[in-house]
This record gives sequence, structure tokens and C-alpha cells, in this order.
Amino acid sequence: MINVFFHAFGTLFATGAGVLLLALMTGVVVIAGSWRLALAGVVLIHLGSASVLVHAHNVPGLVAGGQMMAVVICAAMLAFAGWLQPYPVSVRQSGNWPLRLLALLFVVGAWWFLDPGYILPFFSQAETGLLIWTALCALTMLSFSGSPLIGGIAVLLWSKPLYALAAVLLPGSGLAAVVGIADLVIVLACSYLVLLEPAVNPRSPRALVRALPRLPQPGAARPWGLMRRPLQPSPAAIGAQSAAEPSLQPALQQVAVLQPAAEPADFDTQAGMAPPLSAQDAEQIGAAMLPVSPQSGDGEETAPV
Amino acid sequence: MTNANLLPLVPLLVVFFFIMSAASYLLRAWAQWVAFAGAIVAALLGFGIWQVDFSRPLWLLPNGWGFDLMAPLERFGYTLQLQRDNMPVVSLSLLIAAGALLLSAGSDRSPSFPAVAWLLTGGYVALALIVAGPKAPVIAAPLALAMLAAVGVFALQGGAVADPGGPLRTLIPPLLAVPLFLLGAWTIDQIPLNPQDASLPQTAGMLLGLGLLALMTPFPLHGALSGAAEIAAPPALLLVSLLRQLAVLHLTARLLFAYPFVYQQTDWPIWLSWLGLLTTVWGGVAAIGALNAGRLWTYAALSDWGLIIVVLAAPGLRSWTLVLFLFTLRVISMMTSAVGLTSLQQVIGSLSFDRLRGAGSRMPWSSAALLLGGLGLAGFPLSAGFAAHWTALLTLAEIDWLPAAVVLVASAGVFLGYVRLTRMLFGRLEDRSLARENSLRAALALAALGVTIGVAIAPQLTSDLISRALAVFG
Repeated sequence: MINVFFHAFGTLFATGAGVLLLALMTGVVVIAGSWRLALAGVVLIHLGSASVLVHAHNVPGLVAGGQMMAVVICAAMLAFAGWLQPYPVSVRQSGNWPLRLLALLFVVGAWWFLDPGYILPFFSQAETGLLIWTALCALTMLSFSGSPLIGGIAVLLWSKPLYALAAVLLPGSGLAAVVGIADLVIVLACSYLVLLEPAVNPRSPRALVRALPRLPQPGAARPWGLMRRPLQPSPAAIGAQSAAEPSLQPALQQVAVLQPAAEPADFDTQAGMAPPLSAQDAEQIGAAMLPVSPQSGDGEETAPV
Repeated sequence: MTNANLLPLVPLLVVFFFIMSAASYLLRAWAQWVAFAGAIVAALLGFGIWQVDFSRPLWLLPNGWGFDLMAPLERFGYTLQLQRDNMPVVSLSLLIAAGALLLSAGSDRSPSFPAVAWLLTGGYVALALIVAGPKAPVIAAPLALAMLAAVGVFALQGGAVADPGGPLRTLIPPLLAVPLFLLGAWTIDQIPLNPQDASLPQTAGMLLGLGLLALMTPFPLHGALSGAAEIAAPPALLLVSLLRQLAVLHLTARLLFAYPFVYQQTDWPIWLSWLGLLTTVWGGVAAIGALNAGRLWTYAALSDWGLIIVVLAAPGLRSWTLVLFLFTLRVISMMTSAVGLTSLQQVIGSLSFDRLRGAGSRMPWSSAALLLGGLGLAGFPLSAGFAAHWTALLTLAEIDWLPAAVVLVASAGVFLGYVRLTRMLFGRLEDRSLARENSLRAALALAALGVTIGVAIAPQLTSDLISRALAVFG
């Protein structure tokens, strides 16, 4: 049954046009900026590759089925992790699409110029070219982006040649299954990193710091020199707040004079000591502590220093 | 006494690691006590395995039960067995884990670290214990190392919402090595079929040699740990890096023993020499400009690792002795540094230089441990690493003075980096509210300093350890 399934796809993909289609899909995965598209593309690429292995190299359907199962689970893990993070997922995006396209054109040009004429044993020249192309695309993705989500997708892409080598060159060694297990563990680690990547917009309803409030807040890490500052509220909001709690602002000003540090983490001084608050600072903090209107969020924003 | 009363050690070890990991996770609310207890257990187990006498492979208990130390465990075609060849690696892995757990007992940064540490140590121990498989165990080793790197990600990130670039990059080198090993395995399979074809051993040697190089993470594949140094807790960084490097050294020894054509019929020694030198130079140069004590530590360790790679370029009994000498003193120096780093990070909250200004006056013993351990990685006189570095320099200079001079210059770079750190640590204290180090931290730092100075004065203390480990590597 499973063999029939893969043979059916194999008749489509194990042709010149099929190999070209897989190569194009691999290129699109790199160029497309959307991780959703890339994940779907990777699953399709693995389906095509597994079908070719079964159809052209008599790899057991069970091995190909195992590969597909591992890849689908990995894609699901990454998709769930990506869904939990708000868009855009990472500030470490891999450039824009023209840049990635140029990089791929450079890779193609370099490969065409250097072409060592290497053909993998048991594989045709077209298949060898496809496997090397896939590996180069995966390396391009890994090189261009520091995002764990893109990294996880690149790992899945990289694993395609590994499955092919393990299943065709070393049959009966069980290494294809080990590649699948390694895929699962590595993508699990990537998904974990996706969830812990500081969100660009921590106020998004799907940000992990909202979903799992027990985790440390991103403001503590400040990896890119970002720091959280109180937002300057609108005059209307200040007026409304003052009307609601008229005695708070003078009290805060009095506290500011007496106490030097209200929120030390928000001040970046060389000695690590917070300077005494000015009246203006106290006013800002007071405004941030007061209830705010839905338009102004929770009173904080992430701003570059 | 019947066979029914004999418990096989290896399956028990596997179960033990899982139980320890699960228990550590369930009890993570008391993470520091769990880490402390785990350190004691790991140290006892490590010393126990170190004492195994293979001429009497049974441990008998007073109640009539006993342990069969050499009983194999066979699962999925792979055989795990404690042998004379892997016992020192298992024992050293456990001792490294004990050190990391002890350090993490003084920090509350990551409550789940003990659980991950047990899982990671169990994985590396299992990797060392694999003696047979459907293919040669060394062929599957990069896949296992990739999985263990993935487990290490959990330790490095430690649940912190922070830049994941460094932990992510730890996954890349083993993944790069996997296809090279798979192709190398196929080529090795062809050698008996075409014994006249001289190109097959060369091709296999080149593929395996390149794969090994990727696993050694020389320059420019070195960036993972230095990238993680700013976010990871020092015990996690220590555990992940030392366990991986020990496993790679063990894998190198096994591979070169099984397939001597890797260094006999390829340019592998030349690649190793150049990349080792580049690594040590890069470590030195980067150390000069480091602005974070954690990064400085990893750059110093990188420079030291580059020297180990250079020494490995001529595999043989003499060079393996030197490699093990360097690695043993590296472990001691890194642990000493980590004691200081952990204390400073715990009290100050950051390891960036500007936050450490004047901290030495409030935390003198932790600062001293940090500095002396770091200088040991550069081979500074009167530090733990001096004897090994000096021997390595003399050995290199006998062959060619230029690499020895380059290593010396790189060490000077690391030294300059630590001079800058010293100026920061013992400069004017601006944060008067900085707490003084408590007696427990001071005692731990003093103990680490004692070990470092003891080994610096009498490096022959490590000779028994090295001579027994040579049975594996030599």
C-alpha cells in the first residue's frame, strides 16, 4: 500500500521535469520570505524525494514513510512554534527576496563555473545535481539567517540528501531511521529556540511572554541594545488620569525627590546606579503606572537606545 | 551466587541517567539542592567507574547481589559495553558533569539545568559505550553528536528569552559532518571489493578527515560557543563544550585507529595544522577586543583548543600524551574560570566589562579564580596550563619554530585580554551597592584556586590520569 503510494508520486517526480520541479521548489523555499510557504515547500520536496527513492532506487516504502512521518512531525512542530510567535518572527530575517535571489544566482553561477563533474554512486547526474542544489540552498538559508525558525527549515532541507545517502548507499544500516530521529531532536531544539526568541512586538496576543507569563520577560535580556522605556502618553490620557486620581502625581513627585531608583533596570548608567528621578521622569512613570486607554497599549514600547 | 543475582551495569547506567534527569526535572523547584546532590552522585559514579578493575569484572554487594560490569546491552543492532577502551572517557564525562552541576548549585539562573545536564551526560556516555553496530559506530557518531548538540541547546539557552544565535549555531558543525561520513562509509565498503584501486582509501580518508575537521569546529566554525557566551550560564557552556570536545577527541582516536589511511594517505595533517593555527590566532585576536568576560573566556578556550588541534596533526603516542595533558589542564582551567564567572554573573547579573568595573574589590576570590583559570588557558606561567603549553611549544619548535612563535603570539593576545579584564575588575568601584561575595562562594573559589595552583606547581599529579587515558587514545 505504502509502496503504491510512493510509486504513484514517483512516476511524477522521477522524470526530468519532476527533478526540475523539485529544484525550483527548493529555490522558491529559499527566496520566499514566508516561513509558512517554506515549511509547506519542504514537506513537498521531501515527498518528491522519497517518491524518487522508492520509484528509482527500490528503497522500501517503510523507510520512505518513516522519512515523511518524521518530516511532517518536524514541520508541525516548527509551524506551531512559528504560530506562537507574532509576525514578523525574527529581526534576524535573511535579507529581502532580491538579495536571496542574487545569492542563489551567485551559487548557481559558481557551481556552473567550478562544476567538478562529481556524480554520487547509484545516483544519476540529475539526481546528484538536485541533492547538491538542495544542500547548497540549505547552507544559504543557514548562512543568511540567525532565526531558529529559518534554521529549522534549513535543517529539514539539509536532511533530504542525508536520507537519500543513508537509504541508497547504506541500505540495511538503519541510518535512515537515525537521520529521522536526529531530525526530530534538532527541530525540537529549533522550535524551543523559536519560542524563546525575543519577539519584535512583545505586546502581541500570541507572543510567548503572554501565553506563558511565568517565563522571564524579554526586557531582561536586551540582546540588541533595546531597552524598555515608559511611553509618553497623550495629553488627553493624562487629563483623564489626573481626573481619576488627582493625588497621585504630586505624591510621585515627592517620592522621586526622596527615593533615587524606582526602576533601576530601565536606566543605563555606567556604574549600574540609577540617578535621582527628575520631576519629568516621575510624571512619565506615573503616567505609565496609571490605567491606559486601549489605543495606547500597556504603556511601554521597545525603542532603540 | 547465581547469574540471576548479577545485574548488568550498562543497562542500569542508561536507566539511571533517565531517572536522574526525570527526578531533577520534577524537583526543579529545589534546583540548587538537586544540582548539589547530582554533583555528588556524578562524582561518586565517575570515581567508581575509574576504579573498575577489568580483571575482576564483578562488583559484589554484601547481600549477595552484584554488578556485571562488562555485560553488553544490545538494542536496534547497536551494542553498548563498558570496556578498557572507553572507561576513562565515561569516567571523565561524569566528572565534568559533576563539576558543572556543582557550579550550577551556586546559581539560580536555570532551574532545569540539572535535568538537561543528566540527559546530555547520559548521551555522551552512551556514545562512548557503543562498541558495535550495523555499520562501524564511528560512522553514526556525527548523527549522535548532532542530536547531543540539540540537547545542549536546551542547556545553553536555559529558558531565557534571549538571542538564540549562539545555541543555534552549535547544531551546524555536526550536521556538516554527517554527509561526509555517510559517503566515506560507502567508499570504505568498496575498498575490499576493489583492493587494487588506490584512490578509494584516499577518497574515504579525505571525506572522513573533512568530517572530523568539521566536528572539531576550528576557525571559522568556532562561533557557536562565543556567541552563546553572553546568554548562557557558565556551567552550561562548560558542560556542553567540554563534553563535546572530549567526545570528538575520542572519536578521532577511534577513527584513526580503525582507518589509518585518514592521516596516512591524505593531507589531513596539513589541514589540521593550518586550521589549528588559524583557530589559536583567532582566539588570541578576538580575546584582545572582547567586551564580555564570558566571551573572553570562550576566546581563551578557543585559542587553547586550536593548540590541541595543531598537536593532533601528527597523531602518535607522543602527541596523544600531549593532547591529553593539554585537555586535562584545560578542564581544570575552564572549571576554575567558571567558578569565578558563575559567582560574578549571579551577583552582578551580567558579565559585560562595564558592569564588572571594580567588582574585584568586593569579590576578590571569585575574580582571582576567573583570572587564574583564564590565564591557564593561555599557558601563562604559574597557572595550570603552563606546563602543557610549554611542552607543546617545545614540541612544535623542534619541528618548526614559526608555528610555535604564532602560538606564543596568540597566547599573548589572550593575556592582553585578561589584562584588560583585570583593570576592569580591580578598577574604581562605582556601584557601592554591590554585595560582597559570601563565604560559600569564596570557599568554592579558594578550592578551585587550590586545585589550579596545585596542578601548576606539580603537574605530575595528572600523570596517573593521563597514563590510564592513553589506553584509549594512544
